[in-house]
Amino acid sequence: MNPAIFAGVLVALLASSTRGKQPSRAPFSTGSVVAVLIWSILGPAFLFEVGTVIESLIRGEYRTALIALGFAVATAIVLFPWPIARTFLIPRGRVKASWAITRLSFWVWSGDVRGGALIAASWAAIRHAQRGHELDPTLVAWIERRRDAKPLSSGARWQLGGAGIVASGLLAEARGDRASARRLLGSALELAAPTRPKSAVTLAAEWLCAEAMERGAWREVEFLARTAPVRTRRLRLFGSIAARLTGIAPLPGDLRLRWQWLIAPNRRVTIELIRRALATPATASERASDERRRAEPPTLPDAEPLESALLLHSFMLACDPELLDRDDLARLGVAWDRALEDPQLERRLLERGLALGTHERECSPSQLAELVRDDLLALVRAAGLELGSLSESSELLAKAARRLHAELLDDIEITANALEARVKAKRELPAIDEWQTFLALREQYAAAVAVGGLELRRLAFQEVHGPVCALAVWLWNERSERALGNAMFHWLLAEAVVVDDAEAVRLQERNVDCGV
Amino acid sequence: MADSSWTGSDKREAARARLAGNPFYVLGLRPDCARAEVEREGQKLIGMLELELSSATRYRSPIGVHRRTPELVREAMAELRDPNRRLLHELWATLEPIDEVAGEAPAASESEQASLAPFPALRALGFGDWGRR
Repeated sequence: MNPAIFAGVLVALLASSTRGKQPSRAPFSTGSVVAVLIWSILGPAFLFEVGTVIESLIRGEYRTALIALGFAVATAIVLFPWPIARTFLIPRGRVKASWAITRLSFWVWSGDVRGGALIAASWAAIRHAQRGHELDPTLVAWIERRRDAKPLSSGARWQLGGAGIVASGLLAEARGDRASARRLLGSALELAAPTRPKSAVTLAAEWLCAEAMERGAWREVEFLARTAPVRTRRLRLFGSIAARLTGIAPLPGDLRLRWQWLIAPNRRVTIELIRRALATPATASERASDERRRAEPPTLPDAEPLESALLLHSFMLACDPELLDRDDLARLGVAWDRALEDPQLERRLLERGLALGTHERECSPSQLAELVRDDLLALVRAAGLELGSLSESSELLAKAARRLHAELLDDIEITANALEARVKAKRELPAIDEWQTFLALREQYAAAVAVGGLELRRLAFQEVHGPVCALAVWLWNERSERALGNAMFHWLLAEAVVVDDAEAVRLQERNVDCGV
Repeated sequence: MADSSWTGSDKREAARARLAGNPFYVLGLRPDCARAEVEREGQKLIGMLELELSSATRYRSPIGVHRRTPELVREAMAELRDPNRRLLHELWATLEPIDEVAGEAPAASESEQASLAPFPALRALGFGDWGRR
């Protein structure tokens, strides 16, 4: 029997059977063993076939050369499945072919061949959609069915891991849902190491960096590239370029930048980036003069309180919110406090209301205060400032803070209660939807905390701890989704430490220790 | 209820739009103008916009210069017909409109803008290009 045929049968059998995921206790994964086995059989056979092709061509035996070429191509598919999928099938949007070929990729996707195949299919779906084809829902369902399929072996500890989440993120991108794609791919980096194949994490980190570059969000690129759980030459280059462009320390020198570019892939494409980076100053002192400054806020010493407040208000709205600081917002709050307390304002409203024929009490300073409060909250959120510390300086801001705290907590409570009720009733969702529910709640929590500060964080944690913990325990204990459960335990532990909840810390430490 | 789907930037944009879209600025009038003046100016602007006269296509507010459309003018006229709403708009229109934005950061230098400009990295890394669609 031809070794290529023998190995092909072996590979097909392995590809169909490698399903459930178990954390590997061996120093190398099963996939790597299979890859070595295949290479030791087919490697020499491939060399022999290529040699036969060349020899036959030299001798002019074209029929033999053709047969040998056929065998060589068949062997190459088994030996180099990922490069073939990556170079020929994915760019052409061949979803099913990419999936099938990647099922043979025991080397690149040694930790999770099934997940790798899902990623290849989802990536091909993006390219398919980008080529102007309408994304066929049956094709999406085909990928999702494979992602959600139960493993053949009963002892699998997790079904949805990093690769499945990355595939779902790419599928969201194929559907044109960029926000979900960003959220899912970002979340894949947070899973415990054994549950996320390195190739999947690398792909996710590089996609996230590339997407941030598309938006010109260079600070985000710097953070992503420098904190990613994997370090590739490309990510190192991206991190250094972004650091140099944004001025975030440590700033790489010219020599380092050139070297990183030289050893990274896609040099022809990234040469524009390296030129940009080299053109920016390499030291902090040279950058000091480059810092963006905004114009000084206007002051009208003789103006009425309302006019002063309005002037400051319009100035703040016109400003780049990133340039606003605590003092600016506090000054605006105080200006509005003075304007709204001014008896002239009420008199003016009364007199003008009479002249215009308004209904009595229809227009009062409190109506204006409502509008101003909403604007102030919008400015605080856009500037990324904490409302808690600001509220000390102004009565209006204090009122706004109290109301916003209540609204944000109510919002979190509603979401957390809905989750708790569903977990109690054991109403199961597909694993990816459970993960998305958690991510959405966490995002809501983070948005609230960003505005409310530590005080709100403590209260919000009390709301989310129970429901999220119940979901994680359910996923870990009963649903063989330990990758997701463990990631949730990690997040709860980190939050419990921040809000200094000793009881929750003890509980989550025990949960985290259970591992995957 | 706070809507978490709405970010601070969205709300800030809405606040800016409210100030920029104040009916008095849209109509180019001061808050103490008479009702008849509102109608007269509104009709005049609609006529000018239908004739696509360039002098009517822009208006000024305290946060800059904006595009004026017939819909915006009609909405402004409707807003000022309600005395309660007009009273509130009068307060916000106390400020004089300006030609330039006072609070805007000085424009970043050309080289700074070029270095921080977006880069089509998704296409470069093989994730494709939605522009081809």
